[in-house]
Amino acid sequence: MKRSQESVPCKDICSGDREISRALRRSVAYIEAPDGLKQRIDRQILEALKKEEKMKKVKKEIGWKKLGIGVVAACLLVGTGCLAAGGMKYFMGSSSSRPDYTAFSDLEKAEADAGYQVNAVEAFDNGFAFRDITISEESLVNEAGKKEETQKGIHIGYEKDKEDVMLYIRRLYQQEQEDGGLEEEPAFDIIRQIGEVQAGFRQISNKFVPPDYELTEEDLKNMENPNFNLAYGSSEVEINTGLSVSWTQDGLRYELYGTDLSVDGEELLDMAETIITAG
Amino acid sequence: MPDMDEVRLVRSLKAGDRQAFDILYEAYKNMLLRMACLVSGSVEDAEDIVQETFVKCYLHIGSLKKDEGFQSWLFQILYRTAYTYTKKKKREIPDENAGMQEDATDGMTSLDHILHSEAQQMIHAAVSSLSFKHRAVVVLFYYNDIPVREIAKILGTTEGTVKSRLSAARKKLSEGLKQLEEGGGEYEKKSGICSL
Repeated sequence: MKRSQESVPCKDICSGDREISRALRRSVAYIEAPDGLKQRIDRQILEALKKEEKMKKVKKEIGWKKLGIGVVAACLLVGTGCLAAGGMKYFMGSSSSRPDYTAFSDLEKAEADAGYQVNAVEAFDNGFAFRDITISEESLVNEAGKKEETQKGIHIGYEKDKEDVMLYIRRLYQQEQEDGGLEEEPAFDIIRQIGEVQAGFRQISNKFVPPDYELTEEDLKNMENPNFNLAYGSSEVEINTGLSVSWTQDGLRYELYGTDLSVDGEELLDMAETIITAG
Repeated sequence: MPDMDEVRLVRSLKAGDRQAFDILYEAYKNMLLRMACLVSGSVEDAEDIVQETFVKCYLHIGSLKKDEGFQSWLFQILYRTAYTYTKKKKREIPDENAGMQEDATDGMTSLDHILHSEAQQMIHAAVSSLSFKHRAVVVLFYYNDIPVREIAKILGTTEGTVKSRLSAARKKLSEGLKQLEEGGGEYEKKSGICSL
């Protein structure tokens, strides 16, 4: 294939313009692409393809994560994980945006609805007090998207000076107990032994992004940090800090959590201790 | 009439044939570099523009709907890239140097140093005095011999606009060339770029 300026058919150029045309061509005729240009192009293409591949991989991984995260905010810190055996399995949950109960005395009704009894308090020493209770539909989902076990979760909301703390409770799934629990327990920042119960505090940086969000280099770097959580699904980019204390007690999984809280890890552990010792 | 070899190469490239890309690069590298040079006025900038153009070509070849329209599509990428590049570069130029980069010039300086003949410098100075949009039309029309209808498609505008820009550019080129032939002093002061 040969490209020639003269071979291009010309219909619009009048004879008076030919002088300009010739002069213009002569002015750049000596310019030729340097040898290194192709190498630079090839290198840039390779880098772009690598980046694209890496982003696809990360998005695929996040895609699974967001199943657990996006549906119920309560699952933000506990809703993902995989079991040691039987392939990748994830926790999913969904609930109404409106609370089911607004009086602490209705806790018994919530327990009856969920089918198990929980440890909970109406208020904490630091001022957080009961607000409402929401019941959610919870399930253990396999990689094919099939629900293998279902149950109901209880979410008890507490508030103080416009800050919210949630207590999320669910039963351990049958497979969770048989297979030895989560394959990867989260790396806790602080662990406190309270009687026979071990409670762990963890702090996570959350970044919620729109579905069409393109990951930045910084995001990719942050993804390597286990305390960074990126989830697709929000209408705009939102960043917050999640704090949680989790523990297992009497066959139930508890998670006390909140975002951008003024309380620190030790104070949240104190609140957890109040719940653990309430029974 | 589209080049059938080229159409075959484009199809191969769409199928992931890297060799097809290499052949297309060889066929277009100098033409694109010269076009970019005329539009940007700098050989260094032209290399960056062409590099970006070929990278976009490789990565987005799947978005080309008609394989026969490869050349127009490639020119379109080149002009959009050049436009963005020159705009960005203009923003990065400090105010104290702005005298060399007045609105109409969009960065014409480096090429002057390597243009040898007086005629070449005249043409270059006249072209450089045009705005980017007028310069793009001039290059496609005079350098590439591309018909007005096709230029309109490449630049994403109407034939009327192309004709209007071409007419204005032709007038300005004629005036510029005339001034240069008559001595060039005034023109040199106005444009701040002519090194006659």
